[in-house]
Amino acid sequence: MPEKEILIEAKNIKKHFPVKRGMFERGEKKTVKAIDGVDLVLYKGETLGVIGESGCGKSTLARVIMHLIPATEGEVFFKGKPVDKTNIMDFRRKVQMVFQDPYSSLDPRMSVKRIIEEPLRVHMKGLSKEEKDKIVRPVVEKVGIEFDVLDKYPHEFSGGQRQRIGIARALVTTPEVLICDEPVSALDMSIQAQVLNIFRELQKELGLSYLFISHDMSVIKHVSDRIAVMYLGKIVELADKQELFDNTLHPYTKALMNSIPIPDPTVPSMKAELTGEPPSPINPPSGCSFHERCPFATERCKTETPVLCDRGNGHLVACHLKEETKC
Amino acid sequence: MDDNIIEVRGLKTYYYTATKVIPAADDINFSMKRGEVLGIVGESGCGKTTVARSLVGLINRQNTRIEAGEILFEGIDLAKATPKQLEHIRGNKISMIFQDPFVSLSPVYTVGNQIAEVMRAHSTGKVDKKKERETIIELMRKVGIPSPELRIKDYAYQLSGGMQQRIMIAIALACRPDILIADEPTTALDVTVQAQVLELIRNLKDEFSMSVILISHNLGIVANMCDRILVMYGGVVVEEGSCYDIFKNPRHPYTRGLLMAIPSLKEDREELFSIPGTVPTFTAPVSTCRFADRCPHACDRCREKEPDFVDIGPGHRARCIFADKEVLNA
Ligand SMILES: Nc1ncnc2c1ncn2[C@@H]1O[C@H](COP(=O)(O)OP(=O)(O)OP(=O)(O)O)[C@@H](O)[C@H]1O
Ligand SMILES: Nc1ncnc2c1ncn2[C@@H]1O[C@H](COP(=O)(O)OP(=O)(O)O)[C@@H](O)[C@H]1O
Ligand code: SF4
Ligand SMILES: [Mg+2]
Ligand SMILES: [Mg+2]
Repeated sequence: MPEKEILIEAKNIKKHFPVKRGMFERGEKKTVKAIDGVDLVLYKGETLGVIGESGCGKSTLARVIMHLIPATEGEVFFKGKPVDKTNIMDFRRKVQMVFQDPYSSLDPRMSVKRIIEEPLRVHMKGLSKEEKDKIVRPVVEKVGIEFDVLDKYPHEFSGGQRQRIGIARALVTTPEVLICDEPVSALDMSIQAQVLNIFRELQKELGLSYLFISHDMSVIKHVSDRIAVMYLGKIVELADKQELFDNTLHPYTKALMNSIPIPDPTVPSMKAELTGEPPSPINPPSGCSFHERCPFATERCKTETPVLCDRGNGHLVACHLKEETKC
Repeated sequence: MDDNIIEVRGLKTYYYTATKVIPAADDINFSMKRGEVLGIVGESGCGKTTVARSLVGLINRQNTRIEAGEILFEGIDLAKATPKQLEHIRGNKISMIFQDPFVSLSPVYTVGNQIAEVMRAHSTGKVDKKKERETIIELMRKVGIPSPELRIKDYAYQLSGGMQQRIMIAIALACRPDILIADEPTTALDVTVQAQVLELIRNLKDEFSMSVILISHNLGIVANMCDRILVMYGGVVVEEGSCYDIFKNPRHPYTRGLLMAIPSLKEDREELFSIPGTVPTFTAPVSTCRFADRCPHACDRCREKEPDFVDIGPGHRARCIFADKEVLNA
């Protein structure tokens, strides 16, 4: 088997935001540890799904990898080279982003054509109108928008069409990677399937790699080759999709899977296994950040932070109960 | 009316905008038994909230009209009730919780005060402050608020989304309603919290012997929670049946399409089935099957007039000319 080519590698990424202090608060300046030590790699041609509950840092991770915001610590590599000032433009051309909200991510004052061409104006300056059309036409047709309607404005399109426009915009620079932050979460059920199918087709046809963020486990399972589960700024489990489902190791992943309501009244599903909600990343619990909600927590979990260990076959988990591994 | 607690017949609620009339709820018929959980499911804009708000008169009479129909509850017709009667019903008999708890809670009163207000409106006679406080704390404990004695003094912004929704449920239950209408009660919550809140609703339903109307766009939620389900599309109910009927023997092409379009956790499909086109909004009057433009089985007859309900089995019917025909299976 040929060695898998690594496109993106993120090493020990941390992103801490300063918290504005309230009028009466004193003492030490606090920070939100939105991302607190994340390592991941994205291989060529694969889809790495990232799942986790609101506030666990998914969007922040995407924005740091995209260099839309600076990391507090850590580094991002593209094809083995650290991304820095000298190659950021090339990186941005090869790695594009698709956002969740097709309503607010498209500038309402621009025609859709202009929106889709925007990355060309940044990355391929000086193209003539004909040259741009030659790039844009096949791209919009690929995502299922007619070229003739592109002089309209975003509000004249439905949510699903706007998401297609967002995808087209990401594709015009012929990227190798799309970082998709909840790209179908705002869409209706019947439209979500259309857009998920487009992602599939594009991947097959163009060999794209996706970092695909979602809070919806069925969507993540559908699109991903590998899945990373995040909790409070950290990856707590990462494995091939089938392995993650067949051999779930982290108690949080298990609880997450068991709380999904399955659309079949004959299978028991949706058990409320956890109490409470994810704690605040301003004051994360000591030790394992899941210990307060974990049904299996021991004394050790309260004090010692578990590290992400490989259990073999690339199945990583950060839990003291799954100790018998070398890291 | 036998043992039906509420009966809705031919309800039509239309919105009037500057340019058109939107038939957001168009000929809605259903009834509900005591203790039953009725699901209303459909994509955004199909009219779920409009139906729910019509039931309790929470509609803006400036641009919204109940055009026709009856909502029979305890011998009165809520569709024709006065604002005063409706207010009484809302405070005592039918409670509603909404998708976004933060918007529904008052920012200027403590959560304890907000629960107290409902209890006072409900009870007659003098308030015993100490007893009231105990009752509130007990109710907060029941909906799963940890250390309610402390939380009673909190304001909405001091609580997480899940806690806010629990407070909303406490407020809704404070009057011991006969019917709880929950409109997307967990859409703003994370799945692990959603599972807790839904379990709470399920347990409280039994304890308070209420009936629940649970509105959701999530097929998994209604499959898990509901006894009976209405599937809405474009302002009408396109299919009605027991939970089992809807998921195991769906007879409307829209219901069937939706079930196939959602990615499954059980099996991997390379390509998802997808319903073509976009979710439409209609202008009254409608004289075709509302699903015709997206339906794989549509034919001329589907565009002649809006199809009637076709009975499939006891309590199971669908608004499609082919609902009882083999062709759907093709
Ligand atoms: N600019 C910022 N300043 C301060 N805190 C921030 C900022 N951006 C994000 N955060 C905080 O960082 C944490 C992670 O946020 P992030 O948006 O990455 O989560 P997420 O996993 O994408 O959540 P969601 O599912 O709700 O989109 C949250 O606690 C959030 O409040
Ligand atoms: N206040 C309103 N004014 C005008 N149109 C409305 C109003 N509320 C809802 N509508 C329209 O009525 C239809 C049904 O809406 P709604 O009942 O909110 O659906 P759902 O709850 O299923 O998402 C939609 O087309 C929506 O745009
Ligand atoms: S009546 Fe016709 S268009 Fe409507 S759902 Fe049935 S087959 Fe489709
Ligand atoms: Mg996000
Ligand atoms: Mg609604």
